Amino acid sequence: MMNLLSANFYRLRKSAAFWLALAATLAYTGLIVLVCWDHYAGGTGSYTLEAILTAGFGLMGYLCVPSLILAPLLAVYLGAEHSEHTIRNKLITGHTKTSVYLAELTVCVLTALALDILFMLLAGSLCAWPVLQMSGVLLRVPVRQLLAWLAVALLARAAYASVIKLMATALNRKTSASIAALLLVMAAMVICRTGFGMIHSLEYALAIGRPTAYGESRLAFWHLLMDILPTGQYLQVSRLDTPNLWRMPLFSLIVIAVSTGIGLTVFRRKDLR
Amino acid sequence: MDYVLTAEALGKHYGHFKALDGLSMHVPKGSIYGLVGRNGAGKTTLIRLVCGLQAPTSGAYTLYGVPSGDRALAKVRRRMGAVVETPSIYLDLTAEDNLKEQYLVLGRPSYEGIPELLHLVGLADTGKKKARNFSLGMKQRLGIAIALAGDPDLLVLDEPVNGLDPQGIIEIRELILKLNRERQITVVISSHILDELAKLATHYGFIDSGRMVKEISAQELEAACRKCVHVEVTDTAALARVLDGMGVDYKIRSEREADVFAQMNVSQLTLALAKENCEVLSMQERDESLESYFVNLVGGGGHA
Repeated sequence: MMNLLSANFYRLRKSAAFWLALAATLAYTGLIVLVCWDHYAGGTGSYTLEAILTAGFGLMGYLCVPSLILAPLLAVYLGAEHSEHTIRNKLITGHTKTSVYLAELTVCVLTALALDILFMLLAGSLCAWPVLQMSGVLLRVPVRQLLAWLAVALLARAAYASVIKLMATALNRKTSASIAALLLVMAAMVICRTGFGMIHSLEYALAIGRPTAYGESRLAFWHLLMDILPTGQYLQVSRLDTPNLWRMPLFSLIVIAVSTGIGLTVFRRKDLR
Repeated sequence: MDYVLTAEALGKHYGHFKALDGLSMHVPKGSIYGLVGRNGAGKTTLIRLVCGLQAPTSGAYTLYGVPSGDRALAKVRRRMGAVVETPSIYLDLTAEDNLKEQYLVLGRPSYEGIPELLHLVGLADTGKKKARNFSLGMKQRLGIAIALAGDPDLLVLDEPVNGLDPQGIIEIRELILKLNRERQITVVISSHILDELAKLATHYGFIDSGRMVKEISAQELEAACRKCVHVEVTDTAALARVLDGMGVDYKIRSEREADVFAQMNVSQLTLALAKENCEVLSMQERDESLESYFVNLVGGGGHA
């Protein structure tokens, strides 16, 4: 397993897709930092660090930019093993399908987390001074709350990586895997946009006592969907509005377990060419 | 005989299609074992099973005596390398980086052997050129280099000269012979180019419809394909007496047919047989090749 991990990291380091994704992450970080400094210079904002750090998971509460960056990176990286049939070199030399799958999953998860953490470190350090000048404090929420948000979002990132890994395993080709991964994340964003809209209108209707058919049940359903989807979790964290924070990591763990279980089963049964 | 790879009653079904149907195989240690068969005969399926890419539906195979399904097989697989159909290489990496990656997969402690390996396969001068810009022959040789990264005792090559130009074919042939003679690597090789295979193989396995039709050594094949004069006479006992008298090598095929392994004076033989009251009905020179042997064995109508 360790041999596979070091080989996978070596290939990641040599992959153009990885350096492009890193450049895109840095560009996104630069954008957030620029906006923060611009508000400070213009005296038009009062940001605190929790808003800046959680922007690493979603922009303006709707756009999952880092997920859009990660989708093609992971799909191209994983798909190459199947497209170029290099996965054979691992199996022929005695590595099991399980260890090959888990090693790839580990690299994907760690890469995704590393890019998130890089964003947080850079954005946090570069925005700390203007934040302090604008708001007088670094955080408006307790540190424990911020750490809980970040931990939940990072676990959701691991769930997202494991879903992409499953997709790449099932599709076998890096091009189709990349397209499918991008479509998936965009579809998830559309679902979340709709879901948050539904939650807002249902909550408003219930609050003012307007009669709404199955209002409570529908609200519970949309909340459940937003809490299950990794994209829904990122966006809730980036909005700093997580009514069911306690159950989100549980759903992420379930998504990781189910997608890895299905992925392993598919991969073990697959007749490789 | 010491066998590196054996298969007994090996079967592989894809739905209702039987790609392998009770195939048996015996690859002697140190041999170059040529797998011969038409398209779809089951050669590549057999190689995929042996390489662990697919699981057999029935039957079993052994690698160095370890049966398929045994946990110890994973360890034994480290002694083999393979190129299945197309070379398995990362197109975005250089030849050296491809080998470094494989060294890491194998857990080799250093990259020391890489320059020698690149030199061995003739890719020492490729520098920073990405594998996607390699010619087909270079990709094939890089695939073989990756297969050799673990210093295997067994090398499995599926159609290694497919699509190569004549120079490329010669280079791959010389490389395989070098690996077999200098490093004592056992090679299992499938090829459509039978003349090319005939220049390499020490043993043959003829596959048809997922079954092993015949396993034969190159020596046995050479004897079977020896240039001869096929003679049809009225009495092969008389023919045998005459040929014994002439000190000529022959083989009686039936009561009326025999193969004579020598250039003969036809008049002299006819006269000698006449004295024994034996008539010559026909005489035909035969020079059987691997190709004709294969066609005779599995029948025509397909492509080897």
